[in-house]
Amino acid sequence: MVAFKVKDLPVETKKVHESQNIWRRKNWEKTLSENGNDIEKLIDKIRLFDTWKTKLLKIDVAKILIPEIFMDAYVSIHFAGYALYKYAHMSLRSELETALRLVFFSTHSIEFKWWLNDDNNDKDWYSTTSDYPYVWGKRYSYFEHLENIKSFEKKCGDDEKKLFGGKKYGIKGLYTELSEYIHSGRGHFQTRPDRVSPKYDHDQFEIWCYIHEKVQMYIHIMLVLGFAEEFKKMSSTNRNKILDIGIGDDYKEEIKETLGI
Amino acid sequence: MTDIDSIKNRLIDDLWLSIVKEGGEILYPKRKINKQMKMLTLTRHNNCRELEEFIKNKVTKKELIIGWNRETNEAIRLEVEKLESAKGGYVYEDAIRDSQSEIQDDFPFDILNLDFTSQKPELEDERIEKEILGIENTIKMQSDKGNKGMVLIYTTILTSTPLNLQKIKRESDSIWIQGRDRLSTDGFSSNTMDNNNKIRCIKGILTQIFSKYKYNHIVNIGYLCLELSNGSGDILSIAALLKRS
Repeated sequence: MVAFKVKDLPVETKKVHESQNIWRRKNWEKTLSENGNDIEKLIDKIRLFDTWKTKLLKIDVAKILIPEIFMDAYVSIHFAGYALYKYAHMSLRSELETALRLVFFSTHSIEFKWWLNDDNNDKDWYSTTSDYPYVWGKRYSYFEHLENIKSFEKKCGDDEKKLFGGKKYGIKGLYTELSEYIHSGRGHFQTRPDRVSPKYDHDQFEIWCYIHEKVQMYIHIMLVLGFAEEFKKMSSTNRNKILDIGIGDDYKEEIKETLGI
Repeated sequence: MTDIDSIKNRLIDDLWLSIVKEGGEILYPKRKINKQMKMLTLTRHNNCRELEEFIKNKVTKKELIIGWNRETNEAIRLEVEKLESAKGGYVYEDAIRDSQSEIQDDFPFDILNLDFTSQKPELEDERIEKEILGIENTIKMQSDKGNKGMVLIYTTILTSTPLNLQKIKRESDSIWIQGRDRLSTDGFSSNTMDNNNKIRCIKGILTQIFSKYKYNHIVNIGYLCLELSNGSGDILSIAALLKRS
């Protein structure tokens, strides 16, 4: 292996390397020193994906997609720590979309194989118009038809609390918000008029942290409702961890009522 | 240093290292200095002195070791800091039961360090029973992949919870091997809470499992049982050097 020597790098690469090292370290240290406890809470939620991973070991799609869900959440923290907020949000949308795919593909093994082996990016089987951009069909209606989700939504009552209640709320609202970062919608840029390098910003961090927490919560809810039988078979310790840490007080009771636990 | 760290140091110094070195001599006599044994170790980044000791004593090298931890975060740390390759995010005993497990391609190993105490085990009922089944599945995998001999180290926490021998028997017998005897629990006292009895049971059961997969030649077997200072139980470690007939 060739030893890495900064002095041997080409001029511009060396400049980029050195400046990146500096802003990354500054931002990382500032972020962690001011928000270590918030990040710790996020990591606690992410660690629960290991519990899902073991419980869904027999489900091929889970074996492939849960590590990806974990990594998106993990890398999002990484980006946010370096003050790369746009990319931190992009990872979260990827994570949310992968989790929804997991629930869909878990009962659609043929479609999963098509999707997995699609070298030509052939989306004909699910996307005939722009109304159908997702593997699970038009918007979110597939999920709204699932018995556990239907029953859960009823218990949630208001649109504001439902997973798929209205454009602004729940998973729908979150997905739309995160998509703004993918498409560089107004106000969702990485760059700022007053700076040329990424810099820690407390407000931006707080927005990202709030959204990160919501994404993990909704994913745990989707997994609990999408894999209800497996969830019920978990040890009470693991079940409670998912309910208390992964989901929290906002939805814990509705979940319990829905599943009769 | 926490209690479990100092206990692990004693296990390495008084049990593991000697049997692993003997394994190198017996299994690879033609390799005079560097034994280059392939190892799977259940471990964690802040308590993995076995890695440096085994490497220092030339029984293995970094590139031949795969670390395992049930937490992905910990596996990442192991991989970036201590090893070339780490896996995990799954409870090992569950992962090894799965015929499609990602760890399967890495088998066989010369050294299996199944230290379940490193995996933050939940001290719930039937934990040891699951671990023993995990060991059987591991040995079966070794056997299926053509391994001829190995060092197997099993380390666990003994608490006052009795062993469910019938469960171990039922699960072990469900892995049927033609021409092999079923597991016998005769002579072992079930519902035993006494740790000496438990050690006798576990050793007896492991010996039968070795035999089931034709690891009939037990070159050496030893154990240590050390009390945790907080009174929550004992750490039991059994190390065996095995050859197939």
